[in-house]
Amino acid sequence: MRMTLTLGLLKNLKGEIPSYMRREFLPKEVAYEQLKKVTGQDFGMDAGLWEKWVREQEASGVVFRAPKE
Amino acid sequence: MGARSARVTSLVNEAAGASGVDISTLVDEIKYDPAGSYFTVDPVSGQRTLAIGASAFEQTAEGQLIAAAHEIVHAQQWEAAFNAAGGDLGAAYDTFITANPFGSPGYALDEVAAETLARQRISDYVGGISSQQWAASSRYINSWR
Repeated sequence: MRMTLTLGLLKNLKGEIPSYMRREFLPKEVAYEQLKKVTGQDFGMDAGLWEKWVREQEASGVVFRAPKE
Repeated sequence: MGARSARVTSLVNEAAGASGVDISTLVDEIKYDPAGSYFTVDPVSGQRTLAIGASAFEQTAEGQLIAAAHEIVHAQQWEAAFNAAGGDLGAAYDTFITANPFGSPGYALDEVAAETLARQRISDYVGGISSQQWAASSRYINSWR
């Protein structure tokens, strides 16, 4: 699925990615941990707060990338 | 849904032709899924499904072809993993899906490869895609680098 990192994490946090999309699906808790790691922020499990903050950052030109493990 | 399914089949077949692949050897099921476009494999049966989502049809004709070609590359990536595992479904599934969850470095590599190849294949097929389409793909590729 052509989905940016933050869009995929936000959708997973909201439970919008069905588990049969096996390459894209993450449990909500995993998506939350990834969002914290990628952004350095913590808005808990409140998807609305995450989405608002991420959109504001991306609108100002920030590109969030997956951490190199 | 019937009309959408027929449109999806036609789109995937055209993208496969543009990609120079025989889709019948790579995918067992082609379908429309309102939730989105994806390629997936059932870990038990091994059934390979390529779905095209509603959002694909909001794009231009070349954008739709790139979306389908992108999922076809994933089907090829799965085929390569399956062959590398000697046809062992469990081992291939672990390598391709379990070990590379969304957001992981392996997932990112697959996305960069899929979009880069899909864009080039469709550009070659249509005789050059628009600069806007090229830039949209570049933004996507760069987001995963």
